[in-house]
Amino acid sequence: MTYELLNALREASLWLLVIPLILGIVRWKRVSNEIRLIILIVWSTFIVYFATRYLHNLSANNSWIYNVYTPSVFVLMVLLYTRLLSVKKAKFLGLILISLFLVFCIYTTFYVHGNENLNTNAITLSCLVYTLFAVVYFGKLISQPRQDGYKKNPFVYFNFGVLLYYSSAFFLFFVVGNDLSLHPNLFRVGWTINNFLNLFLIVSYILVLWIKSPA
Amino acid sequence: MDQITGLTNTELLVIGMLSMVLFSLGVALLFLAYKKKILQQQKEHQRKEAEYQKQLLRANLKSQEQERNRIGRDLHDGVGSLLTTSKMYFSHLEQDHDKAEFEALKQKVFELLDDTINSVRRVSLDLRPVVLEQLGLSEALTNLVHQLNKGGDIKVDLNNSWQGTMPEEFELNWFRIVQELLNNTLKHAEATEVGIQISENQGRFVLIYEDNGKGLSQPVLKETGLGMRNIESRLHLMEGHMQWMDKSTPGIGLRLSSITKASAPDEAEI
Repeated sequence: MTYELLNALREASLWLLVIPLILGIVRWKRVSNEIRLIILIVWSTFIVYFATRYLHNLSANNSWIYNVYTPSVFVLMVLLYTRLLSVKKAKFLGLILISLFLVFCIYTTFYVHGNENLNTNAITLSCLVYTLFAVVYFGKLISQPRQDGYKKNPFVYFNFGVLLYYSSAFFLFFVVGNDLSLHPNLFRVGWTINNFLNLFLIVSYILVLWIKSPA
Repeated sequence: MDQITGLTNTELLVIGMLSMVLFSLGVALLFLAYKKKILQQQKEHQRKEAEYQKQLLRANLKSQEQERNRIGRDLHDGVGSLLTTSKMYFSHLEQDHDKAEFEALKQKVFELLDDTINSVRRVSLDLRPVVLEQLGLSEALTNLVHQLNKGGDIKVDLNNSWQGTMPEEFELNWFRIVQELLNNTLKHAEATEVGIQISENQGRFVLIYEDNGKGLSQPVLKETGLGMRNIESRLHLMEGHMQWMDKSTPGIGLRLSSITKASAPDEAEI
């Protein structure tokens, strides 16, 4: 796998992300609060893509952006899944989860790897949490009395995208966090697969915004 | 560092990530397969329920038709023939008769008219149990049992501890159900004794029906099938259930129950 393929996938991700970005702008007023949270994730992801690329072109360090992006997306994802899973005391549990994760992020950023390095520990943990959320959400859908509604449920597609991307990203960052990333070839292969799966995640964003959520 | 258990780190990473992809696909496929299975089960259940409803409706219509035929027969054979005979006697009255003969004819006509009135009353009572309307279910059942016991062919024991009330429609349903059960026993069971217990359990009206007849063999079941469907149909309207009881003695044992208050239309939909 070459760097050309990796770069092509990155380019494709960026351009593909434009579709949910525009759909998000157009549909913002007509969608539910849960879908608005996904639109916010799309917008923040798009901004991070551009910012990291801009800094990279200036040969400046862009890792600090991920130190901000990871907890921000985590907050949005926790808010989304606590609503989707409709657990008891969702607000309280969400607040606890967000607080613990923010403490973890601040600690690792300032005392473990520093602001100038990629926050692999926080990303690994967040990927694990998202994967668990996705599995639990599928479990919740199975236990619902109405079995025929899932095809029109946009979150099913989103959930599959999350499960597919973040479960493999969890493995990638787990490996990166354990210093196996020293080999440059390893980096390239891992990131190529990651970027390829990222396309599925972006497609799931598009499907969420395309499919009309049942009232 | 580059070699772990014979695999390069690159291979390990690729295998690991692909395993996670396979895990995700597995979860999604499991989800879809399970949903499909449950959906099929639900559809099958709905189909059976629809079929059952259709059978109940068919039984209902058939029973209505039978009831109309019976009333028609009663009117034709009973009231019709009595009126025809009365007319014939009236035509005799027109002619000149001596007084004694005239009195005899007149007496005969009055007797025929009395019979006609009784016949019409019987048909009318069958159609609309007046006791039920005026005095309620308990009295109507007591009256029904009394009529049967008066005949002497069978001994019916009614034990009623129910004190509650229910909508008129429910009372009529229960009256018809008991009529149907007694009818089945009289026609097919060759029973000498019938026991009816009425009580209330957890807010539900409960009726236990037992006889000491020959039970329900396959041919009898076939004959009584329509009546039993009618009972089921009436019970269904009252969110009721019917259970066959295990009996050590000969005969049938049934436990029937229903709600006593009509539920809201959306609640009644099950």
